[in-house]
Amino acid sequence: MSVLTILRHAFQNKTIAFYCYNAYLKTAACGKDMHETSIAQNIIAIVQETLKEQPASASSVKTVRVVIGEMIAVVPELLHHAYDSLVSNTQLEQSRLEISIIPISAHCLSCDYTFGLKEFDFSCPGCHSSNIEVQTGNEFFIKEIEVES
Amino acid sequence: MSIITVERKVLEKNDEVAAELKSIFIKRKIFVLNVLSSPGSGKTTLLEKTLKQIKEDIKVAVIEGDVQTDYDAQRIAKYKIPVVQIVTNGGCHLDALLVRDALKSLTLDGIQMLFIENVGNLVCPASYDLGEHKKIVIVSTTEGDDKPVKYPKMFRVADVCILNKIDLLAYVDFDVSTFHANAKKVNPNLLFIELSAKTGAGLEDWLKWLKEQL
Repeated sequence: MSVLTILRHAFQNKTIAFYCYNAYLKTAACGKDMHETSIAQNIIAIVQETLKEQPASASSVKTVRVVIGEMIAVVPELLHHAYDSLVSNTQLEQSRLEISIIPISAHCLSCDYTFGLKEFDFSCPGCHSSNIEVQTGNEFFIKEIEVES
Repeated sequence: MSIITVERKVLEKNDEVAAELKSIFIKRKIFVLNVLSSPGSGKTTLLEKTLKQIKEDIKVAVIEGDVQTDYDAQRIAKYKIPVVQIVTNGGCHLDALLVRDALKSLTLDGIQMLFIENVGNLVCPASYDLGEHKKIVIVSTTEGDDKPVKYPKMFRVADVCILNKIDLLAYVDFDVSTFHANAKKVNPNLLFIELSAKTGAGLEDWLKWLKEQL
């Protein structure tokens, strides 16, 4: 993952690493070596199970919407790539994965302040207490699918 | 176009099996540790030193997780401890289903403590519950004191943080107080144990903590 992060930064800086990054994505999604590949497999299995419970007419899936908290450390580009590779030649081939990333927010139990976390600092910016309750950022679920009926 | 509500957790299968494992561990009174770190931090060495010290007092078993090879299981087997190797064939973490399969090759009768040595990786294994009681994250002084803020999820979910290779502190740019501050920022409840698996310094604190868990 750290190599990937370096490559992503390099990619954002529009350097030659763009090519390496693409090559890495290809390898990653083809093999089993990425976290995102097994996540994509789980998503596809759950969507297929959901479809089985539906009337046959609802078989053409257009969009799969997933909600992922920032704590889960998923790289959206990698998840998209893994998903797209894995759905080819399946009934989900025409579907698009839509990822909503939820930032981490917390509530301070000492001073009652609700805040968004910055740089994974799990203490209250108001009173510096670490007696906080994480409210969002741990989500990791498939919300809904959009089908053509 | 129509919308079908799904509302299902992506890792639901893992969580389901992890809960199943947890109930087996509780029923059999086996204390289970999920040992996590980046590659090369000294997980297997610490495990070897630990087994050597506790195997007369505590009945221990080990599950080894690696991307390839059974080298680590061979190292553990020398201590006459029941051990099973999971080779993930490229997979970057252990999941509960792999652990459930591995348990089929272990005789759990009389076992009091089970160490699960996860694949060396500070990202993915943090998201997969294996039914363990405690997560132990190991960092070595050769890695850098900024690890907790670079891999926050791992340090957030860990119960105990072992700082290994303290015998090398004089040779590396690792500041223990910066490391503590970084880790505390992410997880104020983290318990720290500092040791050198190689020299044995600090090992007694770790062994004491282990024995207290039974």
